[in-house]
Order: sequence, then structure tokens, then C-alpha cells
Amino acid sequence: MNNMKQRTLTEADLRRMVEIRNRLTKEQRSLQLHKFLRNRQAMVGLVIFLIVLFAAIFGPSLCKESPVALNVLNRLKPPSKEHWFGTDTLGRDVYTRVIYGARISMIVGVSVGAISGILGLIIGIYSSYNKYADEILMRICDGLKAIPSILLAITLMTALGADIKNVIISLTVVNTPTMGRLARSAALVVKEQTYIEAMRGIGAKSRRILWRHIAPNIMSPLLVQMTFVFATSIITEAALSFLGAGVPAPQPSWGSILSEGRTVIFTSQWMIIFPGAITAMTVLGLNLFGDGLRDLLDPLSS
Amino acid sequence: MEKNNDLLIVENLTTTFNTERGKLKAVDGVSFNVKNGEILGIVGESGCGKSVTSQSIMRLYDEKKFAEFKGKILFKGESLFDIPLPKMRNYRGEKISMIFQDALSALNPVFTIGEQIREPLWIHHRMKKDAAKERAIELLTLVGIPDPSKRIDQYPHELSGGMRQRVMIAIALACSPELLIADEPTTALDVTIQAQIMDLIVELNKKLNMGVILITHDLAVVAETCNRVVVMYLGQIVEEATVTEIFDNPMHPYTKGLLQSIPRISDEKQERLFMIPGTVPLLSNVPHGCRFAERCKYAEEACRQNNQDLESCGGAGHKVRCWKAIKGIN
Amino acid sequence: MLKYLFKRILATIPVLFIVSIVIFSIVYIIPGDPAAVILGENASQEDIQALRTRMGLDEPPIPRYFNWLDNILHGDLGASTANGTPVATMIANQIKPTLNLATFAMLLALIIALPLGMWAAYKKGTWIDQAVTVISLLGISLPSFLLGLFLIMIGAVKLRWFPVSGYVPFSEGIGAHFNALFMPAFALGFIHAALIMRITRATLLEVLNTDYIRMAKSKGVHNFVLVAKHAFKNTLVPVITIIGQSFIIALSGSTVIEAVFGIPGVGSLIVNSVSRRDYQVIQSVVLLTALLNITVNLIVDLLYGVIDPRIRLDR
Repeated sequence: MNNMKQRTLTEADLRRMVEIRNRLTKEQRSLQLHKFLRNRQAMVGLVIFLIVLFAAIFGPSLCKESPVALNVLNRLKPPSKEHWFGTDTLGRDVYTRVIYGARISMIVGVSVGAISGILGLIIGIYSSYNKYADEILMRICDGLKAIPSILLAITLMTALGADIKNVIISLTVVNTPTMGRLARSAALVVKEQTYIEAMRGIGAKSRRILWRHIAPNIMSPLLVQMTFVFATSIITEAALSFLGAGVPAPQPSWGSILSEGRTVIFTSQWMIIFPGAITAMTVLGLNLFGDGLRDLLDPLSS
Repeated sequence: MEKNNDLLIVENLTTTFNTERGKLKAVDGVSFNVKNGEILGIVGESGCGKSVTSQSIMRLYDEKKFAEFKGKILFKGESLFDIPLPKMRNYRGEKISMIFQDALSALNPVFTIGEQIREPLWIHHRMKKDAAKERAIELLTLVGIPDPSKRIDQYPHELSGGMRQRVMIAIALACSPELLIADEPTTALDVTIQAQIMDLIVELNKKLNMGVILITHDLAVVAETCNRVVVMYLGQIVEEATVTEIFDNPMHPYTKGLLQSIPRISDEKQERLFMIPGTVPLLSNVPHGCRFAERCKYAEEACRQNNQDLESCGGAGHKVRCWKAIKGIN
Repeated sequence: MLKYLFKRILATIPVLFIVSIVIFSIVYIIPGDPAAVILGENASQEDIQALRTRMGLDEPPIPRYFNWLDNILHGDLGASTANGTPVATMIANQIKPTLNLATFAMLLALIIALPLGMWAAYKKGTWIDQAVTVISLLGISLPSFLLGLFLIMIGAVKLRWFPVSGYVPFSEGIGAHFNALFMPAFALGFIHAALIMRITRATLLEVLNTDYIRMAKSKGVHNFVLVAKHAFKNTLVPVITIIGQSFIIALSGSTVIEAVFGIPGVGSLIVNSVSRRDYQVIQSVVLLTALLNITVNLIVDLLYGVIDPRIRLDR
């Protein structure tokens, strides 16, 4: 019975099956999209995130001052008309530094999210397909996951040296194993679905199956996870810079601004309140957005 | 007087649930009574409100937000809806207890059987551990579990399905309740085990003289065990009679359909099993007029227009909700 | 049970192997000559060569790896590249504040999370449930060091209830010890409170909807006992999983919190080693943490069997 079915299925049939399936998914998506747009929390999260992203992209060109311009006469001035967030220990404008810091956070977050997502996809797909690759890749993932992420990040940063490029590399190494595991389990589920079996039945090339049919179908959980990786990367970058192992001075990272603020916490709390609140809001926005995205794309896991 | 003989009187019970899709009336104006020492069968397809009725009697639903009750339930003359909810606990498991359908999911997987039997004894009688253990062994023996002193230290998953059902009965009987509600007690079991469990319930009913409400979708089970039977359809009672009356003289087309769908070994020809056409309508979309009309082969326009009340008809205590049957048309 | 334990320990060996390779290779991903990087720009060629020899960098990597592994298996973590002190001694001297901090943080998290998570599930849809959801969202979004800074501003600068930084050993007074540890522990534990709260609420909601809870209710069990006894034990498996993970994350996360609050623990040791590029110390701490992580996971797995009799460990 099963064999017969496979023999009579032509490529055209299958294409139609996939087409119908895609159309159904699309319809379902548009329904869910409406739900998503009405999801107030997710929209608030998205708006917060977009504001920060906008500030990161256009903010620096709107700022009059340089984030590293010293003005020793103006050190530790409280917020005023000229300096909305006050000035720091070297008289630099905290507002300008926070805007430039947003740029660093966004670059780190986007890069780590995207690169670890892509690497995770590749790892997941190959290990779902090849038994030996699976064995090796998953052992490596388990090994990397056994080291707590902040310690692994610190260790890598110490070896590579403080630099934004190295922050991205380290955080990608830290986050890729989780992505790989996630992609692998999603790919295994998709692989079991009948139409993939049917394709193999009519002799579709395995590389084609992998990239044209499995990959798009496991993007949803990966995209959701990428928003969370985005958020944790912002936190970890700030923590690394706070410890002096992240973005080197005098580049303005939120973490290094806060680290400076720690030294003058008794007198100049604006150095903590403003960058701190913006860091927290950004992460909160991403988390809200990610939760909404998960409800939209991956309703089963929530 | 007959009245004094009533253990439980349900009068015009209506249970409404507040769900995401609005209010759903799962039970709509149900009245019946259970006499001391009697086994009353409640029969109907899944979704007809029979389980909701039983859980309403024990007030197991969240009344703050989820469920609303109307009508009256008198247990030994006392109105259960009028006592404060915390006091309801004194009735549950002590005077009224319940057997659930699937013992595997109804027994707590992380506590031993002994612990679960001892619990109602402690709650209601403050029985100390040793005495309760003794009583637990006694109960397990009563429900026919071999080697009870060993069993009480085992966990539910270590027993067979029939054993688990017996354990659940033992828990329900722990405080010698006056009313036992058995909600499809044998559905999840093998046929041979089913018969054993039903025999056990009948035997205990005689021995302990407790009233039993037996909820089932299987009229054959009712025939063997019950004195009287109530047939429910979509939240309402459609027919009520003694078991002999129901089998000899079924009046409501739905009851007739149910009876016809019981397989009979005595039949000489192998007839095709009868099936009631169609499916039970959704509660959110209850039809106007007779609720069964859509699936009834005798239905005519008048059935869809007018609501029929449950009315006495024929033999003693026989009631039916079908005007054609009352007038003797069919 | 013993057989299961043995099998599980055996299964951790490949993971440990990978971990050891990753940690060992750290020195080799340093751009340029590690010895030169460690000693800085002004070091003489002789000094660099001396350090290379001391670190064994002139040997080929593979024999060096096995030598290193052999030493570790014999309990020898080597000596600090910066000052020659045995790494084991350095860790032993500073482990106590870190352990106390992480344990206190976890206790605080549990005290906050378990009752609130359970309460929220029990009162699903009410204001308390919403409040718990908001708190857990905030907890997940607030980086611990940032929460620490905010706590210092409020608790130490404004209210002056707690010291702004520092650590008081247990031996110098219980009150002072906990007073000094409260804010760091709260900052470190809050995110874990949020996570545990989330998982407790979600699991309990599921459990409260089961037949055995209805059954227990029909036996006349008091609502409180229903949640605290019948439902609680059934929610424990996912909850202890996250508690185990949280403990390890708290332990490693104390690196940042120790920097915020000036606590002389292993975290400070790491931060100092980072600035001194003392790889020997960092490698050892990371290796020990990974080992502890694997052990905690093993203990959590064994606890499953204790909590849920359906999980048979001997199979």
C-alpha cells in the first residue's frame, strides 16, 4: 500500500502537496499575525526594541559631542539641559556615551544572534542527517554547554583579548551549542514527517531535502531562540565590559559606563540610573517580543 | 413514607460553566433521586452531562469563577448548595465518595497505595497511623486484593489495571460512605475485569447498604446492576424508569437507539449493529425544541418547535421527554 | 541503582574529555606568543623564553595535554603563572565566600519562588497571578550586576541598611555575615527566583488539572494540603532540574556580583587573573566548575528517582 503510493506520486504531485501545505501555513500565519499584532505585550516589546535600534543606527550622527571627548572641567555634572544624563568622571557626556553604547549592544546582539543561529542551523541539520556527524557534533555541544556561559565567555575573552570582534566570537561560541541542539531536535521532528519520506521515495537529492525542505521548517524555533540569544548577549556583553574583559576603554559600552558609575555610586547616581534603565528596558523589550514571537511561530512550546 | 427513604434528591440541577467561548450549560434542569441501598444508573453518550452531574453533587468545580449551580441537591434532607464550601469537605469522602474512570490517572503516582487509603481516614476520623494501616489492609481485603499487607507499600504504577480500580474503590469506601458515585468505573478495563469490578460494586452495595450512582454509557452494564435508570441526552434527562421497564418498554427514541446498539450474542442472525445516526450537537449550539430531534427518525416539525417536559407515562415512575411517546404515537 | 550510577558516570567521560580539550586549548588561541602576551610589551627576550619553558609551550601540544590531564587527575592544578602560588591553594582560600553567596542566593530564590509560583498557579488569572508574571519577567530582564547596582543605591546609599561592599566571614558574627551577604545574594538570586517561579507556576497549573487532584479533592482533602502535598510533589521533577541548573549559573554568575560588591571569592580571583592573564588559574576554575556542573546534573537525575517512583533508575 505504502509502496504503491510512493510509486504513483510524481514530482508534480509532491510540488502541489507542498504548495497546499505552504498555503495553509500561510493562512494560519496571517491569522496568527493578527493575533500577534493584537498582543499588546509583544508590540510594546517590539516598539522598545525598535527605538533602541533606531537610536543605535541614527543616534550617533545626531549627537553633537564625541563619546570620548574629555572635558575635565565638566566632570561629574548632574543631568542638565546640555547633558541630559549628566557627565562622567572624565567629563564626557553620558547621554552620548549611552547612545554609542547602544550601537555596541546592537552590533553584538545582532551578530551573535544571527551567527549562532546560522551555525546552529548547519549543525542541527547535519547532525539530524548523519549519524557520525551527530555523535561528534552533539558531544562537542554537550562539552561546551557543561561550562557555564559567563565563565566560558570570560575565558575566551582573556585568550583573545578585549575587543568587540572577540566579544562576538566568544558569545557565538557560547550560544551556538544551544542553537545546534534546538535545530537538531526540530529537524528530527520534520524529518519524520511523511512528505519528506515521500520525497526520498521519489529520489530527491538529500542535500536538496535538507536545505530546501527541512531548513525552512525549523526556522521558527530558531528565530524565537535568536531573540532570546540577542537579549542574553546584550547582558553578557555588558557584564564582560563591566568586568573589563569586554569592549576596551575608551569605547562606550553600557557595561563599562556602569562599571565607572560603580566607583562614584555615592555621589553620581545618574551614571547608573540612566544607562542601567536603558539596558534593562532593551532586554525587557526583547524578552517581551520573543515571548510574543514564540506564541506566533512556535505555539506548542509555550 | 417513600420520602424518608430518599438518600439523595436532585431537583432541577443546572450547571453552567464560564468558558472562553461564553457560558455553557452542561447540565440543564436535571431531577432524580437515589434511595437508600439503591443503585441508580445514569446513562448517556460522552458529553451528555452525566459526569458533570456527579461532580456537581460533590461540588468539585471551582465555584468562584468557573462553575455556577442552580437548583437543589438534598442529601439526607440537607441542602448541599446551602452549606458553606469549606464544610463541603466533611461530606466528600466521608458521606459521599467517588470512583473515577481511569484509576491510573486518578491515583497519585508519587504516593503509596497505603498512604492514599489512609488519607481519608485521617482527614475524617483522625485515625492514627497504625489503626489506619490496619483498616487499609481490611479494605484491600474487602475489595479482593490478595496479599494486602505487601500491596500497601507499593505505588500505583506497580499494580495491574484491575488492581488499581480495586484500590480506588477501597479508597472510596474507607470511611463507609452512604452514597458512592461511580463514574464509568470499568471503561478503562478489560471485559473480564469489568465484570469482576461490577460484581464487586453490587456486592458492596448489598453488604454495606449504601446508595450507588453508576454512571456509564453502557446499558448492558446497567441491566446487570441497577434498580432504576436515568437516560441523559445533552444535559437533560430524556427518560427515567426501572431497569425492567427500560428494557421491556423503552419509550424515548434515544433510549430505543441505545438499546438497539447493545450487541446480543443470542441473536441467531448476525445483524449489523445499530448506530444512532449523527453526533451529539455541541453545548454551545443547543438546538431549539427537542434536543434529540436532529438525530431522531420519528422527528417532525412540532418536535423542533416545542420544548417537551419530562412527564410521567406508563408504568410506576416511568417518565419520558417525548410527546409522541406520551401520546402513544410511535 | 549502583549500575545506573556507574553507567551515568561513564557517560560523562566524553563530555569531560571535550571540556578538558576546550579548556586546554585556550592557551593556543591566544594571538601571538602567549608568554609575550602575558609578560607585556616591556619584557625581555630571556624572560619570555623562561616563561615559555615554565609553561611548557616549547613541548608539542598533544604530549603536553596528556601531561596536564595526568597532573589534574592526581589533584595537581599547577601553579599560578603570575606569582607561582599553587592554584589549588588560591582557590581553597577564596572558595568560601563564593559558595556561601551562591547558596544564600539559591535559598532566597527558593523562598521567594516556590510559594509565589504555587500561589500564582492556585489563583490563576487573579491579580496575584499577574503580579507574579510581571515579577518573573522583570527578573529575567534585569541583569544581576545591574540589579546589584540598583540595590546598592537603595539599600546602602539611600537607606544605609546594608554595607555598600565587602564580605564578613561567618566566624565574625552571623548577623554581620548575612547583613553583608543579603544584597549580593538577592541580586544574584533574583533571576533564578524568576525562572523557578515561572516553571513552578506552569507545572503546577498542569498538575492541578489532573484526575488525581480531583480524586484527592473528592476525598475531602483541604485545599492547602491539596496544593502543598498532592500537587507539590508532582511538580518537583521539572523544578529541581531548574534548581540544579540555577545553582551552577549562580555559582559562575557570582564572578560579576563579587566584582559589584567587592567580595573576595573565586569570582574576584578570576577577574584578577583576567587582568594578569593568569591562564593556569582560569583554566583550573573553569574545569572545576564544569566538573561540579556535571556532578550536580547527576545528583538531579538521581533525585528524580527519589521523587517519582515511576522513574526507575536501575533500567
